[in-house]
Amino acid sequence: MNTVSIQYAGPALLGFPALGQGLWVDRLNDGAEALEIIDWLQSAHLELLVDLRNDGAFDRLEQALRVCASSETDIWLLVVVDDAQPHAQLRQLAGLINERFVIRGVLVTPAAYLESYQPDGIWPCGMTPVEVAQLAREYVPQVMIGAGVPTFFTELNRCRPTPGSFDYLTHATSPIVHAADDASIVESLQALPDVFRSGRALADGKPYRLTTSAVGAWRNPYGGQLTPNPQRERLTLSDQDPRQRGLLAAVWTLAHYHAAQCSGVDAIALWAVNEPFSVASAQHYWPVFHVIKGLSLARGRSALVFETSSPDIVALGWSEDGGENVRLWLGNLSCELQTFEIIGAEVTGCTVLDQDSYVTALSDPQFMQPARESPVPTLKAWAVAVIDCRLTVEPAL
Amino acid sequence: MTAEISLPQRLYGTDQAVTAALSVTVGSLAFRVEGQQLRTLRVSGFEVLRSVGLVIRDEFWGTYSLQQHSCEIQADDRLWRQVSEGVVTPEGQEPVLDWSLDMRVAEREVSVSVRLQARSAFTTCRAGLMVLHPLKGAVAMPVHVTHSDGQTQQGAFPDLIAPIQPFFDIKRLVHSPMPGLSLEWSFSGDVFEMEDQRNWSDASFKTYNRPLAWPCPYILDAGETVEQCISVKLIGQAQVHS
Repeated sequence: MNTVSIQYAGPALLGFPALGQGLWVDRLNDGAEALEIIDWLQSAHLELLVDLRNDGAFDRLEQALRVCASSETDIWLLVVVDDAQPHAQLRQLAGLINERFVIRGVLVTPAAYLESYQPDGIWPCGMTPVEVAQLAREYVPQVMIGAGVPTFFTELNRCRPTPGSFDYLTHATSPIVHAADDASIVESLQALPDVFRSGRALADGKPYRLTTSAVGAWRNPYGGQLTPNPQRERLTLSDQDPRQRGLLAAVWTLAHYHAAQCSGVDAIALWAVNEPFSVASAQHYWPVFHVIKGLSLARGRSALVFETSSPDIVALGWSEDGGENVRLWLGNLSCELQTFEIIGAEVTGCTVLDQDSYVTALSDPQFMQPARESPVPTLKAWAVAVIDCRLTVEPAL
Repeated sequence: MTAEISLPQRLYGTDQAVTAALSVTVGSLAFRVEGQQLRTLRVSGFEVLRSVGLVIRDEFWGTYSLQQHSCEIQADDRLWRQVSEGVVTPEGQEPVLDWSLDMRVAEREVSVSVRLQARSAFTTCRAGLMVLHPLKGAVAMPVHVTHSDGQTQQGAFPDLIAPIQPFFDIKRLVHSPMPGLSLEWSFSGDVFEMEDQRNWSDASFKTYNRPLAWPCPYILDAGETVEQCISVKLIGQAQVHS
């Protein structure tokens, strides 16, 4: 077995994206569990998705906003409105939020634009996303107005916003639109730099914020319905993807966030605080919970570059104190055992989330703290490690 | 309860069995076989093909599992061949489609042929062969396209992600994913076009049958047959010297 070298390569040029999660307003129930998860994660923001056409939508949105207001998390809205007559819904939205809640931004999507259209196909005849964005700006002038889609990059790319008409750009990703096997999910990470490069070009210099992305797909814009998946199997276009509760999702999340950071993404929401993409449920803290909670500590830290000699290992790190003390995350993007060595840093503590610690971590929301013990320099299948270390070379190499 | 969580559950959240992968080498070619797909075909270690094989979509673009009834493999130093047959059975229904697939890999040529026959009216968004071209060696690189009327087009794989299909009506594609190696692709049995799969965060360009501009979903009538073939020739020295 080859040993993978992890080498410190100096400060990163780009900082960490703000890390948040999604919240499905229509599936919040009493909000107690979501609030507990929000408190644990301490993330930068929440992306609330709500279809204002649904009965009771405003009551549920108000409840969700009250849940969020008890945390210090920024709120961004993704609202779906009627295609022809969005005025009444936007007026009611303005009445709800203008005086009672602080909202950072809102993306308004005419319902017809939840579907995908071929560029040369027949497009909806109702209001366009650009038109409803202009309308939203009139109703909620104090709120940043987004462009893009709550669905996937495809829909944004086929319906590009007018430069200068928006304050930020957004879309989501899912790796299981076309294939749902484990290898394809990992391979999809190779495409993210191109997605983000293309997205930044469309953002035209405005903040580029990825909205709620997960392994699962929350919507099928291509055929109307998600794939039923009551047994939680590996199926395309499902919002019940089994990997959500497994180690693969944890390392996928680490690599996805790393790709966003390397590409200059300003903000990203990964997974959610409630269904369908909840990172925990019924006091079960899935592996992805621990990665999200740990990565939220990157906020405001100086990102560092760690080069790896194998694409099977993802490495992400930051300076804890602006000096030599570093927190390093490693992930094994394969089902093979990986042996590694860290060059340019001395390890002072380590905790590994893998098949052996899975059960312990499942019931301990504070599991992912670097223990003061020497690490075993191996990562089992899909394992993630958080490592504290001290640089042995100049921090500003 | 938690102590009983199986290893597959811990890794993947499911005990669902996965398709066994078979690793194969033919000369300087190495690839995996997973069900009805050839995957990650490498020439002297460099990936030139992400996957090629049979995909059957349902009427909502979901992907059917392909039930396999028989599979025969022949292999020697110069040729690997798999001939498989099976059916597509929608949930809770009788089989609606028979398929047979012939995949051959020689050191200088890969070919995949399929025959589909509907047992009853079968509604699908796409049924046939597709190939995924890996990004490395393709993004922003030149490609020469021959259309079904014999017209040729000198173009390039997109750099930034293309919202529309970069190439339509493809009979033949020629490009060079690495110095010293050209790939000559041929497509028959339907009209093929290419999509920039990066739109969906897939790490590939996809050449697939049946134009998206045609009615969708569509119906294969009872008894209707479909025959398609995709082949690629590897031209140059890179494939023979590792």
